[in-house]
Amino acid sequence: MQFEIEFIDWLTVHDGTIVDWKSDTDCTSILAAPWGKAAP
Amino acid sequence: MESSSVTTTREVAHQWFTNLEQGKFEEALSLVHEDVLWENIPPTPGVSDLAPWLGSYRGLPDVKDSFDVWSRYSQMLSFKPLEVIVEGDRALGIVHEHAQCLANQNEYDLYVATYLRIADGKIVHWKVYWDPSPLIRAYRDL
Repeated sequence: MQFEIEFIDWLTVHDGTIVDWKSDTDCTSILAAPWGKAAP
Repeated sequence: MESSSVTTTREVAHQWFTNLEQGKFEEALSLVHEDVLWENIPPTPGVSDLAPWLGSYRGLPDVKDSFDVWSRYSQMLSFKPLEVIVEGDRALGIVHEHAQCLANQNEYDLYVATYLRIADGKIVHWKVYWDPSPLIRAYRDL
C-alpha cells in the first residue's frame, strides 16, 4: 500500500544551522497502509 | 519596519489566537471570510473517521456546521498558542489543545499547526496539520 502525507516542518535556525526540527502531520494514512485501508 | 500587509496579518492572527484562547469562538469567527476554505485533516477510513467533523469545508456556514458536529463529541478544555510566525499574507501558529471526549470523559492533548492566509483583514484560507492519535486513543478508550 502506498500513502501520502502532508506535513509542517517547524525549523529553528541559529547561525545557519537547524537547531530544532519539529514536524506536525496526520499519521493516519501511514497507519492505514499496513492495515489495507484506502487513503482518503 | 514591517509592511502594512504583514502588520494586518499579524493583527488578525493575534486576534484569532487570542480569541480562541479566551474561548471567544464567535469573535474569532468574525475574522473569517464568508467564502473561507477550511481544511481540517481528512478522515481516514477505519482509523480517524470516528471523528465525523473532519474534512474540508467551503464557506462560513459549513465551517460553523462542522464545529457544531465537533461540539457534540468533544469539548475544549484549553487552547494555548505556543508560537506564531507571520510572513506576508500568511501566518502559522503552533497550538496546544487539551480536550475531552464527551462520550467517555477521556481527556487528550493535541499539538496543532494552524496555517492562515489573510486578505483584506479576513481569514480566507485556514488549514490545520495535526496528529489525531491522542484523539483516537481517547475515543476508543485504549
